Amino acid sequence: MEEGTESEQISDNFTCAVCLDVLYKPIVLVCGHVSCFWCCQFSMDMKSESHCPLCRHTYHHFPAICQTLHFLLKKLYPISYKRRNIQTREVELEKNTLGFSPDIDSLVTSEESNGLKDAGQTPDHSFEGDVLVDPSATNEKKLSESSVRACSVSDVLCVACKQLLFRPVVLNCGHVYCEACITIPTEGTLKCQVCECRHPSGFPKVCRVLDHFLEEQFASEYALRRSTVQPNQEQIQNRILPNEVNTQVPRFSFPTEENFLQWWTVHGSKFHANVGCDVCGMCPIIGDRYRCKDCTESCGYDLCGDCYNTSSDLPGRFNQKHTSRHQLELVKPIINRNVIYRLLRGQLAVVSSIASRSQSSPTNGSLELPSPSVDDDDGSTELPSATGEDQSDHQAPI
Amino acid sequence: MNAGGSLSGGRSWPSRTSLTSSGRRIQKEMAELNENPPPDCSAGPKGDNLYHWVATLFGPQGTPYEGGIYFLDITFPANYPFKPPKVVFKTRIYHCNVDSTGNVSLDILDENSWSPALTISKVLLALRSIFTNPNPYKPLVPGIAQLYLVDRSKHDSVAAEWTQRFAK
Repeated sequence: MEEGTESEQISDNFTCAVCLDVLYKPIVLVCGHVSCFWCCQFSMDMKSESHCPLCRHTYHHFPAICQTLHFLLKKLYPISYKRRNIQTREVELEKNTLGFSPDIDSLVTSEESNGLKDAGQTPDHSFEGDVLVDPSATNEKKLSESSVRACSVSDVLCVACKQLLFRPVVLNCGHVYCEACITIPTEGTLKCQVCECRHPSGFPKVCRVLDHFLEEQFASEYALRRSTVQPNQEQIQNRILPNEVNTQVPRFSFPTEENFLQWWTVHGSKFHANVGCDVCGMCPIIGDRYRCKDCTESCGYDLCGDCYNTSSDLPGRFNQKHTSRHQLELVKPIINRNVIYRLLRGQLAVVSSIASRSQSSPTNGSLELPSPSVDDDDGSTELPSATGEDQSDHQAPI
Repeated sequence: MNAGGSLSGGRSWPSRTSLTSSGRRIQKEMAELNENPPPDCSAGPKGDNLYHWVATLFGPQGTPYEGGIYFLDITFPANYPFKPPKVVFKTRIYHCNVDSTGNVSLDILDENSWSPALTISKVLLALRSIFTNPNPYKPLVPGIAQLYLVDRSKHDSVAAEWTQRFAK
């Protein structure tokens, strides 16, 4: 009903495939597909690797919000964006255990005052933001009419070359570069030039949605950029490919139904189901996990080993008020009911496969396990230590 | 963090003014279906409950299901679209991927292969495609799959007979 009064026509480019609404606090995955912050968060598998809703590309890191896209959308669709802001806020307040999506608008202004961000870009963003948040209706009406003209090349610049983005790619930290402006170091992982954050997920693919928009909106400038960048393109392709193989290799394998038992015996002590790193977004955390002792938010604040060692003091992914003065402690994985269940199933599959090998075929029926009764038989003997935790921590937040 | 396990689903429409995000998404799908309905099918809420739909599929031409009208129940989970909807055939059908209680084996409706970018419209298209191309390698009724592979013409004649009997 409230949508009915809106006159803004959202381009298909900027419609989230998950909520079918205008993208809100957009996140760009390594495969170049975009979704809203919460749409992405909710579609992630907190116990194993996640898949892009559109292309099923696997990923392990929940990317940070792409601020360039955020401010662009805010300019293009001020009314819809405002509505999404209110709606999202309502949902966040209702389910307060989830935490809140980052408040980018205030984040940018505070960064700016700290002098962290490039001076050339932020002022007009935050200024524009203030105008749009202004609730006076006449102002908004006027803006919506001229919104398409309101966005200029200065809103969509590459953070490296400071020119109009050409074939934009978005890193895990949310910063946008031209594909050609990214150089992967021969050793180590790619780092963002602006925020120094690691980009752990391999070379990102071009964000088609943004690319199409730029091509349509700034046709002449885009063509100009193409003519200057194109000759180097082949060179770039050559440069990327060998490195891509290098960075694509994940350091940890993720569990699957089939190999869970074997996997657990090797990595079990390093697997933190349902917990994500608040800096790089790795989810679930595999390796060391550090938990903040001082953050009072119910979603908590956690870091993976790598991010703990690089000691960055970024705010949490869910708007936690974490500061560098907070104390972090190393925590052991919580073994929950789900893991026990999967372990038992694995165990029993092994047992029954041995049984069926030693006997003949009729035992086949035992492969399909009647779970509840099985739990009681073996549960106490297999993992006596773990049973205490299982009820409470089934839904441990990030 | 599990996706909205405690979302207040159920009877939330149209009495409540503020919808949950799953409700908003279902409303958007409803509007989209009304605007561009996929060929030979229709779908919409059963009563005033947004989470419970009825869909109708027409047996495609050139298949033994031709001329049949099939009713389906679609139930959306409270955390839709992050979990797949449940689809059940209400009309009896002779098909190796649909069992006698109406359960369907369709890969995209499986929890592991479901993607939140899929919509009911796409699900209906996929259901339509199993009318023309049953999948005998992942059957719910192995007997029908067996017959489909061994004696296609007999399978088709039985299916056509069932269409006459149950789906007219």
